[in-house]
Amino acid sequence: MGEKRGRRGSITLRYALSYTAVVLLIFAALVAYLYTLSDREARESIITAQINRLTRMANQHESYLSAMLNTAEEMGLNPHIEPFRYDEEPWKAYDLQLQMVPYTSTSTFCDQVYLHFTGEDRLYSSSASMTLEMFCRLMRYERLTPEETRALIQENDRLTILPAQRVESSLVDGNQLRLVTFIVPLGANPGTSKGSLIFLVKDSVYQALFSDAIDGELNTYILQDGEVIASAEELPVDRAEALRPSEEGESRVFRAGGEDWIAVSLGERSWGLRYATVLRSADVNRAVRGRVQRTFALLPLLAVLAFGLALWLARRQAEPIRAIHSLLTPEADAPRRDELQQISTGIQRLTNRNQELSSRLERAMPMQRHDFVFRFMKGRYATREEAVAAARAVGLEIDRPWFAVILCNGPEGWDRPFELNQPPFDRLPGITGAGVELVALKAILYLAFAEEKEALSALAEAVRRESEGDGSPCVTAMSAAHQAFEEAPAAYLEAAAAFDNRFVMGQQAVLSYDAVSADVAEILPRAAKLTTSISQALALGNRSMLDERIDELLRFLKRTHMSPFTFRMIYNHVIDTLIHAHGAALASGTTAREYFDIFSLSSCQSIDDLDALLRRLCDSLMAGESPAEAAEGLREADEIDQVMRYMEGHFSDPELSMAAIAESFDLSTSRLSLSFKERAGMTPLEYLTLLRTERAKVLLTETERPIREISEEVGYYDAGSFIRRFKQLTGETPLQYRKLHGEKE
Amino acid sequence: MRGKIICLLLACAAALSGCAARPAVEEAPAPAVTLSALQYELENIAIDFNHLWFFQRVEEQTGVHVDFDEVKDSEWSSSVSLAFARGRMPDLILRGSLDVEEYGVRRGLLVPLDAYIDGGAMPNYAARLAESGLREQLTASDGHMYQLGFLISQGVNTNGHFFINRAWLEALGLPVPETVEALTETLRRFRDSDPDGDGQRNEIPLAFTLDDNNTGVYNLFSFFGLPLNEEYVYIDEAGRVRFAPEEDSFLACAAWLRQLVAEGLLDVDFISQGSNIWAEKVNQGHVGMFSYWRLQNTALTPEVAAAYQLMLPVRAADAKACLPRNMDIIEFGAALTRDNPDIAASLRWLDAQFETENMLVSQNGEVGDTLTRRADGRYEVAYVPAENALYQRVPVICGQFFAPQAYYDAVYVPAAHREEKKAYCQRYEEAGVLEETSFKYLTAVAPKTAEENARLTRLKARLKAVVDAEIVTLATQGGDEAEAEAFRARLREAGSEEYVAIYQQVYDRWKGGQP
Repeated sequence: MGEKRGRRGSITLRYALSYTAVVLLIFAALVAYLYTLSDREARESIITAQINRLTRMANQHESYLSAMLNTAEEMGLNPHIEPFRYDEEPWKAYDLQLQMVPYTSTSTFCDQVYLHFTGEDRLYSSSASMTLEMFCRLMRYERLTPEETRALIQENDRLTILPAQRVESSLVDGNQLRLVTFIVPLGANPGTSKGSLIFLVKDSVYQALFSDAIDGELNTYILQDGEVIASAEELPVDRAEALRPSEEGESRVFRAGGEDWIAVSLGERSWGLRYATVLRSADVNRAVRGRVQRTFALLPLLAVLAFGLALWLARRQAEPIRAIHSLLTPEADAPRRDELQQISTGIQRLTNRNQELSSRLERAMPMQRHDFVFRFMKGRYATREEAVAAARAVGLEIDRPWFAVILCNGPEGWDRPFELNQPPFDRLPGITGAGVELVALKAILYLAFAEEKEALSALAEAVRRESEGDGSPCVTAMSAAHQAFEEAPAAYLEAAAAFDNRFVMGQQAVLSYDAVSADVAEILPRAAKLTTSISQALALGNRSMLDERIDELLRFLKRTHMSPFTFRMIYNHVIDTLIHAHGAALASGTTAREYFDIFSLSSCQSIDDLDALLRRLCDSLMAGESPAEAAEGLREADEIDQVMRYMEGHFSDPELSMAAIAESFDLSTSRLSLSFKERAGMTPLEYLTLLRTERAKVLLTETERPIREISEEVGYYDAGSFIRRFKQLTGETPLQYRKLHGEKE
Repeated sequence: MRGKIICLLLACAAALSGCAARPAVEEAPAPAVTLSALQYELENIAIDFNHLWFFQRVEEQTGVHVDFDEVKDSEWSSSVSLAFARGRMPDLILRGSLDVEEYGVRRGLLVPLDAYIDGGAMPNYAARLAESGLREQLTASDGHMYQLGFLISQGVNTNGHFFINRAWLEALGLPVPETVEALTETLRRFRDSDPDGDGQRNEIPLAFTLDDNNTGVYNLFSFFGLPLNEEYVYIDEAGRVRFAPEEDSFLACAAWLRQLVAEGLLDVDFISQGSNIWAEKVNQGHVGMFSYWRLQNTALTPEVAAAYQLMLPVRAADAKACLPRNMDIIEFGAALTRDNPDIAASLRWLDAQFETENMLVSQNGEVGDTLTRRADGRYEVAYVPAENALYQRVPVICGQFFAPQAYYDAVYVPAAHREEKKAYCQRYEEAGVLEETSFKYLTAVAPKTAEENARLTRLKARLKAVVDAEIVTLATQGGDEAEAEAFRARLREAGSEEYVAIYQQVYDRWKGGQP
């Protein structure tokens, strides 16, 4: 037990150590990577984030500027916005204001827009107009005198941006605001501009633009031609130093005021604009450390998880190995060796054993197929699927539409091939199956499955050719082609029937059940009718009638062309019918088998043989009837005999009825019918019909009287009833009977 | 007949419940009742109505607890529609706005309150409503009242008053003019006589803007008997709606304006200058006359304002001065929905808020802090806390308030500048220079369907463009008979006839529903 625990420990430990080693290696690589790169990556990512932020801001800002320039261009091209002299045409100011409304009512960037025509002394907005002098007086810029403001507006040949500065004015909400002022030439060609647009933009709009900074304190600047036009400054850094152009790329580190700073800027863009931001280096370092720490903080947790995973995997791997080991190495036999080596040895042993079993199985396969064929022929498989599965287990794929049974008695010493998938039958496409030896028949039974019905006939032919081999005669018989597997027993019987027909049909071709059974269907019903007549005569104990009926049957058989198979079928039917109907009357010690031995049928090969056998049987049956009658019911039998005689004397009377007969013999009709049936094996009415039919047969064959007269003669009112009854009893119409029997007579 | 009986029964029931509710403030509260309310809230001020000190006080007084569902201004309309559409109506709807014609008259989802009010269920409110003479504003087209009003009367009967430079009159020894001719002559003297004594011809005799009744030239049409307002319609003595710009007096005034501009008496900048520029000019001290809301506490500097005095509108020959009349417009205060389980308790709770001290406290804060009760029994504001701090204690503008002018004067001391405006209004009222029937009945009182509102808005924008352009044209370039005909044709083309017809229909419909 302790040894077992030790083995278990060693397997788990081995895996645990392996996985842990792998995890440690990965961790070492990861830590080295993070240690090397995380600081630089974090620093670069912060710089990149700032560059991205500046780029977004620049794009947004420049889209605003583009919109303003577009407005100036469109207004410059508007034919309704043309310079005029206000003192001469003041009403045009009203029209101009209406024209300006659509250009100035949608902007979210600028607060107000004023229009100034070159050389004019007035400014117009969509809601007000005033002199330029009043505008300059009302708009008191922190860093511009009214004169300077006026001069800037009048010099309208290029885009001018007045940096953000405090403006005192009643024209804008709040009276004291920081504004950025854009003076944009009116029209597409600055040199020939007819005026300019003055856009007043609140600094709060810029502050909103800068407000997307989320990484702590920083300064942000928008510059034009080196001058800051708007800024958000949270850090006390010297602006000149912060905005000094850099030759180090997009970011640079500089020292000012005893601190290190990082400046990030975009290169010069449209309209001479530049965008820059400044961060405290210490803040960046703190952020970098924070990111690295956050990254490393996960490592212990990951290590614990990975180690746990390694242990779990080790246990998971060791478990099945231990199970395999215990299966392969019985505890008692297990020497103290390496477990995996033991498993290897065990697997080798199993492989050898498996090969041996496989070999045995291979050898046993024909037996198994033999067993399968017999089981299949006996209909032991409940469903098609079950049969297919069983066949697959013995290497046969039988799920094909058609199958048939072939019987073949090859010559002595023929090396009988049982496998249809092997030479010499493997050339036939779509065929599978197997053969078994039927020792009693000295024949091979092939159970064959095929995709095509015709392939089965081809196989039968191939079997015949193969069995003939050196020219020795042999018989090959084949059942009909079947599809439903449950018809397998029938197929066997068909093949056997065809095989039995070899005495008649010879051995030159395949005996097909389809061929040998063709005439049975026609001949057997008529023979059956005649047999019924013999049975009735036997039942009546009427010797002359019995002889007559036996003669009639033999006459029919003699004049009918039939195969021995059909003959044997009829023979079989006649003997079987008589023995079943009257077998109880056979003398003691006499068995039915004496007259009806299926294996002795071959000794009865002619009608004359049947004649002798049949008369001998009937004699035995007739002899057996009398003692039985004498034993009991003699009086009743006499009464019935008297009834029968009476009916024989009066059957031609159409008025003869059961009621009349019963009344004559003082019997009830039910008693008469029951007693008559017990005595004669048929009802009185059946007997009456029999008498009339028998008489009619005589008249039909011995006279040329019309059918109608004969029908009246034998007791029918009308010929139709007679014909129906006659055919019912004989299987032929009166006219057919006359033709068949009269001519022969 | 059956309706009358039901009304009578309702009135009796209301009277009984009203008797019980009358001493609500003084007596012990009735057993606690909880109601739900959809409460309007200002967009930019968050008010915690469910924990407001003021409503706790009202609950203590009435025994009625209200659970408030606060809705911001921008979502108010859709919230109200949704509440009615879903069929889950609050018991009370408070402040904001409500289409009582739709939900009360047409869909019957509001409780008619007239029987309750008349039956004494709301003694505070009912008394004030009766005194105000404003009941008609609250009466829906089916003759019922489905809402309680919200009113802070300012006693303002017109927007702009005329002011003339008293210093200049005195310097030139001129009387206050009373006719158009006299005024014109006075203006000429202002232009030519250097009344400010600075030796420059920088005087602007008349300074106006264009298109309103405050600083705009619209007010000048009153000299010719035409009450031209920003909606362009007024009601004549026969109760017919008239379109002011189509009147002959419109053209007569326009011709006078042309004369003034041509003579340099009216600053031509009126056609394009806004009120900022106008105020800047007035503040320069060179303007002789203007119209404005009042003088104190405005864009005018106190020094400049002190130089002016009120003047009555002058009258043209064969005309009587007529300014557009303003009036107190009652806003929506409260309504009860059909789902309200306790109408008596609801009205008791509401009426408690109309009790004078409660009401003034709800607007101005607690007595002893932001509100003071003077020895004469009137209340006055002590100070206004910064940063909307009042809303942390009282609902202010979002609460219930109903103060018609006479009542308000009796209980409240307004700020000085409001007193000034009120005095100007009384003066104009006494002088009989205001139109007889306020145009506000058309534009604010008589209810309109949404389709009528939309159509009127569209037509007004078209008509305004035509009218303003014509004023500018006539004042700066003049016009003859042909121009006058063309102007009238442009007005018709812009839909003046339909505009008047809609207003007439709205007004007739509303008048027909009045008791």
